[in-house]
Amino acid sequence: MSDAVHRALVLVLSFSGISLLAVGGGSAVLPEMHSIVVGEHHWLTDNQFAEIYSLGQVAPGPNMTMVAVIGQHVAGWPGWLAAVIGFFLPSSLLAFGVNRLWHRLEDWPWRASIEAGLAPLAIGLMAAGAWLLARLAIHDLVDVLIAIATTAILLWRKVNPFWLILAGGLLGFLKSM
Amino acid sequence: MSVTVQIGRRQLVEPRDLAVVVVTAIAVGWFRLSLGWVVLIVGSVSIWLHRPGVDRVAEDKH
Repeated sequence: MSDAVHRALVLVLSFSGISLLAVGGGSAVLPEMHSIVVGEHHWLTDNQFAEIYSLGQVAPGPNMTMVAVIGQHVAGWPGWLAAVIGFFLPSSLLAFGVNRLWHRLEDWPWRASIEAGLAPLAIGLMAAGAWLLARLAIHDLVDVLIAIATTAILLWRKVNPFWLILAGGLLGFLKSM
Repeated sequence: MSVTVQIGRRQLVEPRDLAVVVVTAIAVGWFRLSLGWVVLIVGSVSIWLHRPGVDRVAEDKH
């Protein structure tokens, strides 16, 4: 078995597992994904992981299309396919099944409990993902100021995040000159 | 972070929800505990905190 195919198999298995635990969306599994591709297998560096995440934010479509870039980086086209199938297929099938079941359980008292109980868990996981990204991407005072300004603008003004990412990239480019 | 705050406005003011948010964030973000165990254990506790008869939202519905 070639190294690329072996890596693709590892990708499909590990991404399948974490996608099923993505309570709160893709950003909720960023720490686990980082642990696998950076910490455990050393396929990417911290900087590469942060850059791929930024790329996923700017690119059209769901931001977790970043898994496709990770897959391609790790194992070429087999890796691309493995990452996309592994991350999106099992969770899509699970959502389909649970959605059907959920409608049948409309009068079940625990239904509201599960919904209310999982909401703070999802927020906590998203916060952990945000913390990881901050740790990877913030290196100095300028970065801190950019992060604070971006957060404030998004909280208080209705601005397309694309423009803020673009502005951040421009500032980063100017900073590196 | 802004998305987390926007979506979690309600959870960030309710004490029991805030506790779950903080414990989850620290367990995964700081201690790097396995996502599966955190979802299983903290998720179960969180659902139990909102169990029927206790949850204000559920009581309001009745």
